[in-house]
Amino acid sequence: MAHRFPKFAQISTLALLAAGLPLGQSAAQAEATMGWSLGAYGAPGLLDMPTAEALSDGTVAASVAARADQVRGNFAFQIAPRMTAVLRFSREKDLGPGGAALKDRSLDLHYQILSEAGMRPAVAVGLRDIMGNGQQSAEYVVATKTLRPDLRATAGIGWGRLGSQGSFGGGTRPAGSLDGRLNGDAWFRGPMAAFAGLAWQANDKLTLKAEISSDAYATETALAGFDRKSSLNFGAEYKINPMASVAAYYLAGSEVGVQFTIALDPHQPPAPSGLETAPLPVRPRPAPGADPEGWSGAWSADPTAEPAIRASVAQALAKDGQVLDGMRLSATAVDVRVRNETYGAQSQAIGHTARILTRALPPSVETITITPVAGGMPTSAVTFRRADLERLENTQAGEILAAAQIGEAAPGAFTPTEGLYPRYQVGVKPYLEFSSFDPGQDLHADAGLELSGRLEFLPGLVLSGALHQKVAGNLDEQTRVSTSPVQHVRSDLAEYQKHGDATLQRLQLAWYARPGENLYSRVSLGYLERMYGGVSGEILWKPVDSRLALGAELDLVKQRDFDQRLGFQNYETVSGHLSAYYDFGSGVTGQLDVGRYLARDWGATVSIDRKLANGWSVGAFATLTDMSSADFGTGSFDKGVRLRIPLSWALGQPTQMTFAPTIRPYTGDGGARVDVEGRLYETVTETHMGGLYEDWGRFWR
Amino acid sequence: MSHTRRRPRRVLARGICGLALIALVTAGCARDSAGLGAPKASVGAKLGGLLPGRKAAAAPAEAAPAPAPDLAQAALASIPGPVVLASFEANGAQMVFGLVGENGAMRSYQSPDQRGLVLRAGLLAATRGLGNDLMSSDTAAVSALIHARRPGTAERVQRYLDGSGIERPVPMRCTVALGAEVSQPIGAITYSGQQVAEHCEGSGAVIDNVYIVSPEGRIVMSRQWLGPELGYVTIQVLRG
Repeated sequence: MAHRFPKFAQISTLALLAAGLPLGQSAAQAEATMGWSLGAYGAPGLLDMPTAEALSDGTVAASVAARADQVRGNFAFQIAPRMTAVLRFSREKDLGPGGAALKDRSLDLHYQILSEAGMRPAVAVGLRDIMGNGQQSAEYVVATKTLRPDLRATAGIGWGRLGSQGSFGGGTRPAGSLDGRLNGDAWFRGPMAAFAGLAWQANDKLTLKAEISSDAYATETALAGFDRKSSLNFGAEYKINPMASVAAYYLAGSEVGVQFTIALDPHQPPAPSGLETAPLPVRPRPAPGADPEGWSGAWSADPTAEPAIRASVAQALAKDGQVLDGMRLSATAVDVRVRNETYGAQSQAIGHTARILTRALPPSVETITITPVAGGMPTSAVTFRRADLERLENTQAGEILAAAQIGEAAPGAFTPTEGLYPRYQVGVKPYLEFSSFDPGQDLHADAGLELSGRLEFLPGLVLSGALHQKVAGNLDEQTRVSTSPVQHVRSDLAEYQKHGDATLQRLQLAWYARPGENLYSRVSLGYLERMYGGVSGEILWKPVDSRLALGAELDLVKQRDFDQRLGFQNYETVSGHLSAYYDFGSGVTGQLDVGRYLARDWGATVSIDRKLANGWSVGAFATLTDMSSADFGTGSFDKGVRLRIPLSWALGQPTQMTFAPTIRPYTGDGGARVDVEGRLYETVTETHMGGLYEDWGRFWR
Repeated sequence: MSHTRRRPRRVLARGICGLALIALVTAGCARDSAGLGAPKASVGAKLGGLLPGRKAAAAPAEAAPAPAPDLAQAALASIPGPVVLASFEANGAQMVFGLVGENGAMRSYQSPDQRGLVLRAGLLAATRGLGNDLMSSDTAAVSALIHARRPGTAERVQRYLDGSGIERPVPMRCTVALGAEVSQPIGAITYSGQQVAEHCEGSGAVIDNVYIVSPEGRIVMSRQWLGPELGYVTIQVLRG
């Protein structure tokens, strides 16, 4: 276009260097020293040796590393700006009992103590394979220094596997725990050894790496014919695109391996955020002289005014992907109850609603209150002066936030939107289901159709259900049999998965209510999940502006038949928990649940979740109960990692759909809870102060 | 042994299935008595958006590029009221925007496919719905110099959402200089006035905006920087 205006081209030059802009770099990111590539253990590293680098905060990186006698699947999670956790599933030839293949699962933690600054290198400490038999067990302290913008050197000291070649000092390293508990006795004990390496970014795509390894590969040499000719390992990694990379490495002078990595960085969405229809602008009010009747408020005496305004607001909101539940209108104030069913950020939905109201309300209405409705309950109230909306449209988002009031939803009589209830929703969509992850088993999967329905009689009173019909698959060919010595409250998953014909996934009646100020309640009755039916009741105390929330839940449930029709097995139990939730700020939420679990075991669950303003969340949890680790089986106790990836992050388009997998290294029958839909805290928290503040930047979007 | 070799394929297959799953859950059909529909975009478009390296192409190019005079005439015929034509240099797309709201000096325009462009006294104030949008900008000081056709120095701030969804300001220091008096016919419209150049630096950005200010003091045509992803846009006032 510019070439049509020679004078323009004369004056202007395209001198922009977008790469130099600080966008997309949070303060925390700038602090940690970022890794260039992953090692063969799936964490930032050279090949077998670690580096002191970290991944970009919140990143999830899945990698598969394979050589002739070994395959590893690694899932790395940057759970805090400096803390990396890696869950690994590995299979190694000849190393298992009786010379069979060894199928192992392991967990690593890597913490960057210091980032690079001036002459100081980055320093990290790490623990590999912290639980179980510790086949890959090792600890290290490592330093990494950027020598040139494209060259980094690493040196460190290792224990365990990383202290096995060229070792010095230390005495004997204690043996690891055999039943999947923490093997803390062995950490930083026994002989140690030094390792070092270099990484060179040859260009944007290619990184070359070399290391002097302190891993003797003793077990592999003794049992699997591994030939360790050299301590030198070499590797090359090629970035296919910002998300995917392939690597090849040459190990110990005798082995060749390949690695494939997909890294999802929540700060780098694959699609540009905000591919959506633009909001309607604020409509400023005319001068009082131009509309004296509207400014006087006399219109409110006209009985036809309120219904007409309500209908037009409901229509505009529906076009925007929101539902007007009800309205309360006076000559000077309005309060609308609105369900956001489109936008991931509540603030964006509230911003749209506020602008729609400026277009629909007579000029005398000065106070605008928007009450978000979640789970059928009014959960908070955001109040604006209309003059502020007019004055601050499309300015820095913090300005309208400072002028707004966020508080408890006002009770009282709202005029409901006509014809909204009873509201029904039905849908058909495809589903995919996989057998649980087990390196020793073949993959089984089913594909089919899910028919779901929802009937909301009144706000908060909902009958809902889902039916699965398998179309194709082999989940019924699974050979896995639970050998758990306790009641099989969760370990019979394969028995359930074998049935795919018209299985009732859920059919429940749920009632959500506000029994008092700051209080929320839920009662769910019916087939709550594929394995359990019964009744589940919950109450939550959560002031809108409070970081702390307290809850209690009681579940009376009976185990369902494997065919997932209407019948039950003869195991029934009472499960219940007292819960405390705390919002630490910056999107970090901690949760403690204490109570009785499905196998009648007593204990507590600790979980911590980290959520970004774009909806990404990474969390970890662990449950310790009075069930013995022998009864739980391999893994000793229940723990895992949970992710929540909003589809809007991947698509750039507004949708509330999410991909939310939970990854457990081992599934046992201890520490299991009913998987009831729509627990209260997750239902209300996004509309409370912490949730609103975090993504407020989208208010004017 | 053969078992071992098959593992990577299987795990990879899971990754691919995962992506397929994302595509699948957005498919399907639904019905709602409240009249709220499923997202309108096709599965194909969604997968296209998932492919890395297509960010730029996916940005504002909703409308196919068309020769400006035809597009301008068609827009003037079909849209009542003030109309502007925007040409995005990043992808060569041209879009027309009609006025949908005025708030003081701020004018909000929308395209027929409901993307938004907000101008404050002719200077870019915000964009909406294009992806990687300009969220807001503080341009009062530079705007005063440009409209007065007076050389000088002033501050400007533009704001964007970063990848994690946090609003980030990009403050810049700008120098306003005067160019020639120009008169340039484009299609049926002749753009006449004083050229005013604005050179800004700050936060790692170096940008050059140019405006043609009419004798009445209105910006009738301009080339302005939208942001690091969207690049420059040329805005012509088709009907003021």
